[in-house]
Amino acid sequence: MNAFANLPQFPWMSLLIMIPLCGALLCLLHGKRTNDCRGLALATALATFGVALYLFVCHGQGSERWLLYEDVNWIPAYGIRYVLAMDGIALLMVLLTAFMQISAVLLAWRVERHVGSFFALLLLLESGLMGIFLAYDLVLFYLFWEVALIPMFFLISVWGGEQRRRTALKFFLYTLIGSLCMLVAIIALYQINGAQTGAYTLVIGDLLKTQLTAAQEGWLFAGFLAAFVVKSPLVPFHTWLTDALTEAPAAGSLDLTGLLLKTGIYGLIRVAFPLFPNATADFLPILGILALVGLFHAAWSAYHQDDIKRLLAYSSISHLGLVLLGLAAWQLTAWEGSILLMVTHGITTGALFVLVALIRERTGTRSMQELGGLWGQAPCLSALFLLFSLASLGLPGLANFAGEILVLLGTFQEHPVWAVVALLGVVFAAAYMLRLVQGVIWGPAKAERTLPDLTMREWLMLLPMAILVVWLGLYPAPFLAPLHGAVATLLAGGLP
Amino acid sequence: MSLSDLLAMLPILILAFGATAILMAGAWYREPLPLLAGGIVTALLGALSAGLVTPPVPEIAGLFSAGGYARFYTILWSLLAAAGLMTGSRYIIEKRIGAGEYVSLVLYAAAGMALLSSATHLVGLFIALETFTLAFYILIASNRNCALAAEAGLKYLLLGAVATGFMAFGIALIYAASGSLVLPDAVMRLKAETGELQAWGLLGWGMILIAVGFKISLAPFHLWTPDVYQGAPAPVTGLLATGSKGAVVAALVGLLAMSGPVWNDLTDLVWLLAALTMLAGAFGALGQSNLKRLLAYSSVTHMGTLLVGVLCQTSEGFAATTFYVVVYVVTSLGAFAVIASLADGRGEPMTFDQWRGLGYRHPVRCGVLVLLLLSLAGLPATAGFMAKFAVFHAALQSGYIGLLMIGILASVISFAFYLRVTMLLFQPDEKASSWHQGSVFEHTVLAVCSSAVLVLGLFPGLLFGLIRQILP
Amino acid sequence: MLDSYLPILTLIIIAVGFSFGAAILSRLVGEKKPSTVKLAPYECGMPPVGSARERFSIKFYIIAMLFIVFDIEVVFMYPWAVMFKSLGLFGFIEMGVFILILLVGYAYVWKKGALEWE
Repeated sequence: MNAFANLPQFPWMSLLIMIPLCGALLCLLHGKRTNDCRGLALATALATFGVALYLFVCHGQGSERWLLYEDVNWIPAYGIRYVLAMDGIALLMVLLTAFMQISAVLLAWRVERHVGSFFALLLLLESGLMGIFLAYDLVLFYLFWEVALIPMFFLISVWGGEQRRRTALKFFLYTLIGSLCMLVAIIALYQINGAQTGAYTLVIGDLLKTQLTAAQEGWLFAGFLAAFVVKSPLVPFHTWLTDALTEAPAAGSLDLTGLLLKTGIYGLIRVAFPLFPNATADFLPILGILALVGLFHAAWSAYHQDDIKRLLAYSSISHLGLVLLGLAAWQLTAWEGSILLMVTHGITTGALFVLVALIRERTGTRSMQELGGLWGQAPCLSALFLLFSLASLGLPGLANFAGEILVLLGTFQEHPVWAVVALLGVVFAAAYMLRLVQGVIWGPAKAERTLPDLTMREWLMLLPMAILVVWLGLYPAPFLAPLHGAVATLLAGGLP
Repeated sequence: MSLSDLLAMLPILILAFGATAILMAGAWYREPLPLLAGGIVTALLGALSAGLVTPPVPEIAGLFSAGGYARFYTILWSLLAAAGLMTGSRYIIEKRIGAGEYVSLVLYAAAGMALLSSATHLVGLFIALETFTLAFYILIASNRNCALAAEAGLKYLLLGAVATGFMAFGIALIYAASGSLVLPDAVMRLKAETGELQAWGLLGWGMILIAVGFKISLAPFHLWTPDVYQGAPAPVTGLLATGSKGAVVAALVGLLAMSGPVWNDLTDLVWLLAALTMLAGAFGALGQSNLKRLLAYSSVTHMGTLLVGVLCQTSEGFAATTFYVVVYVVTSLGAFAVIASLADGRGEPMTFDQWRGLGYRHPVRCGVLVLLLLSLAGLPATAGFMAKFAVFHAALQSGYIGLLMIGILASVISFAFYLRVTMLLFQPDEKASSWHQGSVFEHTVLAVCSSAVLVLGLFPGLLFGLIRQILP
Repeated sequence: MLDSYLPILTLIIIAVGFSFGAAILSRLVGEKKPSTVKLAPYECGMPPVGSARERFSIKFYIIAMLFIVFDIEVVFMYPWAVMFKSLGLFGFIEMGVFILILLVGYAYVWKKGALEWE
């Protein structure tokens, strides 16, 4: 099926998974020496980013179905293979992961308790995320899906806020129930396909040909959906997220919102939709409506928050509602917009979480009632806060705008009503983001504080994000280019 | 009994004669370390001889098989005995328990388990079962200064005796109905019978199932498990939780694999037992605040899952069950070895209060414990996942969708309680006290168990290949 | 096949019937004149002294266990002796092994001091 499959080729994708894994092990072994760990983690994150960037520059423009493909026989007894495959979408997500991870490591610089373990978990998480984005065998996918879950659980339960233990357990059980449903669906699909073809396999590409009855397809799709929808999160299943985002340590929130949420949507695109085209077609209207409900519900909730971290959590849900809406439109432009929006949302909201963490470090509070007037006290920090907030609300010329406009344009062609309603939701976003800006930066200072402005390390963290936000807003073409072929293939192979 | 029979029995003979020799030596020389070392060497020799010496006959005296399946389990239980002696070494020295007795009992138990796994005759089955059960009666209560241990010993003795009674009655009924004690034969004839005799046979099967239920703690026969596990010293609990259960399951699998699907009339009953066991274990563990009791309930859940694999009665199911047994043995043994390695003058750390924050005092061993618990929970990349995957796959293949769902539900619940322990270990607590730093023996066992969990999780193909070859 | 168990069943019924019958019959027909001595617990014809819940030395138990073990084992020798001629050399060796095992156990018990009273 693939020209690359038989060629011996440098395992770049395995490298993307292995580098963070090795870094994590080294951090664990060097747990006692704090500074070594920090340096090690940063070096690992940079090296991973280097590889990702290399892949983006050198392999990003290919026109084949797969830019890269690795295939090794893993557990022959069950036909389980170690298959990694990268298309344009995966490439973009990998790049985003590697990029965000640098910020996460820098943000975790100040962690004081059990530094080695913290960095080890952070890097393990990165490894798991890379695996999710690249795996093309269902068991491998499931493996990485769970591998990404465990470090997050520990990050929240050990380094989290006051409610950490309850939150961690809630987070874990929510996502676990979803993923076990997926496991059942995986085994069932494996069984059905194996019975039909006589050759048991779990590679997604081979499973596409499975003949399913409508009922089977519906149930299996529901199984996968349970995992992905909880992670995305679609609205009735989102309650774990706000708690988890609020209680997680700063670097954890950054990874959670910037990357882990995307895995759910990515799973839909890569696994659920292609495998079950008929069920997908039935599901899309529901998805669209739930996405709209989510968009509004989360925006409304965001508007009423006092804790700025919680506000950002709701804004994340709202943005992801828009992403899901774009997917539900099932249209090329909308899909490209959705995927772009995933990336830009990761960067802008991620940056805002970083800034919130910095504000919390300096003032000791996240409550808007106690904040305000930050502009006079820390101008550089406030300026960046303003920039990312504006980007987040979709100001033209900044990152989110490009994605949002594509989503709305694409959706309008298929479902004009959805697009119009969604547009109102975007206006809502402006309302709560401006309220956030107003409450934190402008107005009178609520307390006499002398706040240090950004340090060198913090500049290092935020400046690349700021540059990227402007770049993505003005000239997103280089990031859209690799998407084109992949999205077109998925759409063509998808709906009947 | 000819010479070739004796040669085929070599591993068992090594274990049994080694045990007797050590028992006698222990009566004259009280120095524990040489006796322990002798015991470990004997166990390893037993494993080695089972692996290297090809038996000249397929069956020993019509009682026990000498095939690949039997040898596989002989190796496993011999290694388990070695591990049990290693984890128990510090315990018997510190508690001044007779080393000769302890070592020989563990070796006798291993011999019994090995025989049970290879039984092809109902009398052989019974003898083997009694051999290791008798050893366990004594081992559980070996710490005579501890009231809990005495209670545990008595409970196990009483219920063990009840189970023995059921077993003997069941065997008698099957013999009455089929006129044969040779295993595949008796079972096949039973299947061919109709009417009254078949009913007697089914009743016999039911009795045997009850006895098995007591031994491997299937719900509703599981109530002794937490008390006995809590009272018995951790090294013995490690053996009891793994070997005594694994050997019974192995015998069941061996018997069913030889005789084909004979459980058709019992399917509903076994279905119910499996479902009940998985749920009873999972819900029972939720409320525990003592790690040993929690592990006891966890073992109940695992036995339920194993029964699902047995119930399938397909080669797929038997292979999955065998794999599961190996994984469960390694993981559970490791978990109890962690407890044993931490034990000091105050006893073993058991209650959650004692475990709170221990992850910061003993990071390596608590890390190992977390790994093992996650494997018990069935997290991917650990052996536990592959085991569950295999069993669930077999269940789906045989069409047990309802059981699969219950199994998944039990898995979700069990994740909750394993994670509770994990969180507890890494909860900041200044009061957490340091425990024993553990001996070289104990660390060896832990290293072997944790690496086995990872290797079997990432490369299960090797073991699966072997199992498919040896299944009768 | 189950027919062959009929005599055993008959025997059981007769045995149970006889014992119950005798008890019931004596209760119905017999004369009752209770007195303190008659109502007292019966203990081998001796008047009961003190509580029945008395503690015995553990040594008795050990002796009792050893007696049962070795006594039962000797029982196996009777049928062997009866069949000695037809069993031949094989039977002799087997019994030798059996006695050897007993001897090992005996040596262990002796060395452990279980046979000493003090």
